[in-house]
Amino acid sequence: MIALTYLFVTTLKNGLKQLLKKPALIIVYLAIIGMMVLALIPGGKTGFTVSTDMLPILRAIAFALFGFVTYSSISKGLKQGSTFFAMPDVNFLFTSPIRPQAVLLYGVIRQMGISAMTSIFMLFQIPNMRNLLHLDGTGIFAVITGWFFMLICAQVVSLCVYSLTAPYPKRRRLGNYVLYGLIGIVVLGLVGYLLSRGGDMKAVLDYFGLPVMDYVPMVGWINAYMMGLISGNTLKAVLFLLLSLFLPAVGILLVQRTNSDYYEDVLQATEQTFLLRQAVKDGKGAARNMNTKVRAGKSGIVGKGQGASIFFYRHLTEQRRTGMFLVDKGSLVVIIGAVIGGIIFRNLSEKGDITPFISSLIAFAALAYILYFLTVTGKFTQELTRPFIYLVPAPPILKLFYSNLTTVLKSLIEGLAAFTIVTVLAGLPWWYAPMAGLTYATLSQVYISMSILTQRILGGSNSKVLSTILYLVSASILLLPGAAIFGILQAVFYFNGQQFLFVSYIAAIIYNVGISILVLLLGRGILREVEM
Amino acid sequence: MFLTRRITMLAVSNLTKKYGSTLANEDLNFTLAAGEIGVLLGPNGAGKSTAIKCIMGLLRFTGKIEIDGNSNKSEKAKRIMGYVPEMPALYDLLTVEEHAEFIIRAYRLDKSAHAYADELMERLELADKRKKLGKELSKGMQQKVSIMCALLPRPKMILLDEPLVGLDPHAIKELKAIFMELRDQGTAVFISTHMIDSVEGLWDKVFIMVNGRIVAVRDHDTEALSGNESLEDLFFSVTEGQG
Repeated sequence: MIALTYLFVTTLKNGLKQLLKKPALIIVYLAIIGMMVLALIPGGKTGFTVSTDMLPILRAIAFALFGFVTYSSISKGLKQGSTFFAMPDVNFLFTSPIRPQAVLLYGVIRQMGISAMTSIFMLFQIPNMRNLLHLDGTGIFAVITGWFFMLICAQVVSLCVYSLTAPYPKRRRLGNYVLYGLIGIVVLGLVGYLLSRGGDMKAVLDYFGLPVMDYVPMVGWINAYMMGLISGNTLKAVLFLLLSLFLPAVGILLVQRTNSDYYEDVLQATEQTFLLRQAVKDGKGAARNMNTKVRAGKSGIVGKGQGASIFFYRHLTEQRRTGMFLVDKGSLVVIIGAVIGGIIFRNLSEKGDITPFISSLIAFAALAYILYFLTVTGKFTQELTRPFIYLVPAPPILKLFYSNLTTVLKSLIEGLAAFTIVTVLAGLPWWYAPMAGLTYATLSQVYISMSILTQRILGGSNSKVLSTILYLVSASILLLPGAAIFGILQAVFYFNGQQFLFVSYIAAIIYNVGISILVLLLGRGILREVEM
Repeated sequence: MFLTRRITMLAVSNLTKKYGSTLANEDLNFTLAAGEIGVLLGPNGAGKSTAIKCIMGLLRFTGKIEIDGNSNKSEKAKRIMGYVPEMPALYDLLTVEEHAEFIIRAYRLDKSAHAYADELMERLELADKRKKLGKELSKGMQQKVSIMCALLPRPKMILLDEPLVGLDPHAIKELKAIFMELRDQGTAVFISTHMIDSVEGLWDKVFIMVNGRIVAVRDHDTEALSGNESLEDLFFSVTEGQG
């Protein structure tokens, strides 16, 4: 334990020393602390309070969120496991004569620190919790600690599941059946409940508020702890908290007692995390998780392609292996978002709470927001981290065009599908699907242009701070004029009968295409100037 | 000297390692005595790193691995083993000398270890980097710190996974000299590599591994290479057609 204490204390001490050497970072931390203090001070009315009881919504959201975290952790446990450790721990601690149990305890404490740090962002939600959910100090404490316990439990459960199933394919299969069986029960229960009660939002909220839901392992327990505290039922809160803590405690004991030979269980996940972090450090931020199972299937590049166009055909080949034609898991998220949004808009507009105009704007804004994340991790960004795009002897503008083509086509398919769904479900005018779909597809190019512009100005500099500032500047330069044109035209046509609202989308499409081509022309030198 | 070299320091019996249905190591059997340099040679993907990780107690396996008569996963065995991993990874927020201090505490070494740490830092040209944090070092420097940490407890057996990759010529020369000194001091040195040139002239025993199996073993004392036969010739003669 002397060595582990030394490691812990020295790491902390050196971390603080490092911080003192970076005044800019200190300013950022002080700003965060300042914002947190402001968030903690109960202010007056913000003018945006909701009078209805929001607790059923909080319970349902927490259930869904906790359910997702639990599913992800168990699923990860059934595949590659989770880890409390970093690669130096493997190299130095696992091979040293320190008892594995002491090493595990060190790992758990370290992980708790990391989970506490990742829970900090919850503090920024305090004003929202006060104003939107009407939570008092105890309620806010309940939500933040609930999230913290959830993160700890998820890590431990993932490790236990891996430890108990990894060497046994039969157990892994059984684990999958149990996991999907449980999800099936909850989903079928929801469908049954909705059929018997009528499919509105209130029925959904009531379903997650059923007393039996408190007994769903982990997800229900932690939710019940939070709700117990919020509703003043301290006994319920304490009982469910004990139950929630009991599970990770038993898990750790199980791994420790029955399997002191747990190093293999964390090795793969630790190596995987290490390689991904190395990739990020080396500037390969868009690196894929190398553990993702991909089948080579048919070999050979799809189509032919020569010179610059080979990038397009190579992307098609990769898409064939990782997704379905041009669409992938990201597209699925967009489609699911469109279906859920469409249903909600329909219900709200039936009750007269929302107009089709507002629905169309919210749907576009939400999907455009998701599109940003799908684009920055897309093929083009990955292409810039590899040498080939710089080496292939072809005109730079053609290489930029072809390495972007899959992103454009993917966004077009995604956009047309998603906005058709929203149009049908929410009863929007027919022109909304093609217009919004095309605007969405061209917007992906504006996002790409932001990357090109940033890289072009930065050249060989690797400064992250500068890169972030430039990205924000390029976002303002490229996005804001388009958004302003769109917004003004929307307002003009909204107050003039609404028949010509589609013109604002056409204007946005023209702007997006124009600015993308301009950046492409100006930024073609990126392939000569950028250093990998 | 003769007696030292007869003590079996590493004994691997029927070592088999499977990842699901993939057989990574199949029924490995070999020994390495104190004061011997053993080289595990094999092409990429042959299963060398898996075997090394099994010996270091990082993976579960079937069969038996003993270090100086102790189970490889016992505290006794770990106390006398040193390990230089294939991927050097240091603690980002520990300096070079703090890495040494950490090892001294983890292995409960006596005070003389501090002087030995200084000596190793000097030899590996780390002395001027002693106040540098792990994250501030280049890959090659990180490799040198890994080597220093592995040597610091004065192990009776040391395993090195591709130890020369990423080192500068001076460090390679120094490390080879260290191998010879360790051998003379009675330490068993086990090196895994796919770079034949790097170990030519160093080895006492060579194990050639292909597809998870050891397909050839040569003992320098009893089965010296004939005439002009080099390690490379031996390697290709046994591996060609095995792939």
